[in-house]
Amino acid sequence: MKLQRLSFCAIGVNVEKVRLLDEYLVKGTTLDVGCGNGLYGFPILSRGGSILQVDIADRRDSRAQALPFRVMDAQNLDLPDASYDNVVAFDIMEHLDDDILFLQSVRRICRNRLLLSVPNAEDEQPAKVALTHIHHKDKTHRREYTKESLLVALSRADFHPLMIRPHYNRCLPGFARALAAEGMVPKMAAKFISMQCCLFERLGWFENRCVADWFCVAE
Amino acid sequence: MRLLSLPFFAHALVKDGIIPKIAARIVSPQCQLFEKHGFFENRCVNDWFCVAE
Repeated sequence: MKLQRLSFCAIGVNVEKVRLLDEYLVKGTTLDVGCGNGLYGFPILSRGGSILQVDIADRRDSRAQALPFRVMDAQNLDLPDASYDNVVAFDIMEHLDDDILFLQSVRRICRNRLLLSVPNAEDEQPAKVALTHIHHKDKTHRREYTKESLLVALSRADFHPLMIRPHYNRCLPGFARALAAEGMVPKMAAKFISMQCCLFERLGWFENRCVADWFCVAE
Repeated sequence: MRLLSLPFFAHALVKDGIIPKIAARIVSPQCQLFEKHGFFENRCVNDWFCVAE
């Protein structure tokens, strides 16, 4: 077990990922690979069916401890062929030595859908002000993905994408908050700037192209 | 040495065209003004310069 591979990002639940589950999970059994804190188990179970969570170590939140769990290497899933209707793999592929081997392993056990989230490699927009994605600092990442490289990886494992969409980082339009000094007036000044940025974005003058992750559903 | 591009973050968001550029030019001077009055603070230290003997 390589504990250094565990990500510091594995905290909390992202509402956009919950929305992805709501939209694309099919009824039946679900394998939650690289489940991390395990908290996505609840929105998965709310769709009906059963769940198995797997990870290289049990680091689940106490709230998720009651859910079925097995310690397993994601690149060598010890499960029967075509045994799960859905496979959910949020923020795991970037940590694996061999992502293609993982996808091929998932292909073998997945009857219907694979739901993925991977970090975006490209940071053209924040780089304009000498910033970058916070996930670029995660030293447990073996790689990150462009939309194209993700599609290539999926095709090598015989997965056909149903949907691929960006998940945006909203930090850039709200950046004034990072500049605000302590106190009420500075906070109000930052809010004033952020509101202008949002307005200009709505008017089509500003554009947030800062893609944090790629969400993908494949069959 | 501070990262001086930070108060100009609006320039990263701007789309092509005159009006978007004007919009960014409206936001950035406000950030500079707020910085001058102590409401904004650029604490983004890019490098430490040092001279020793």
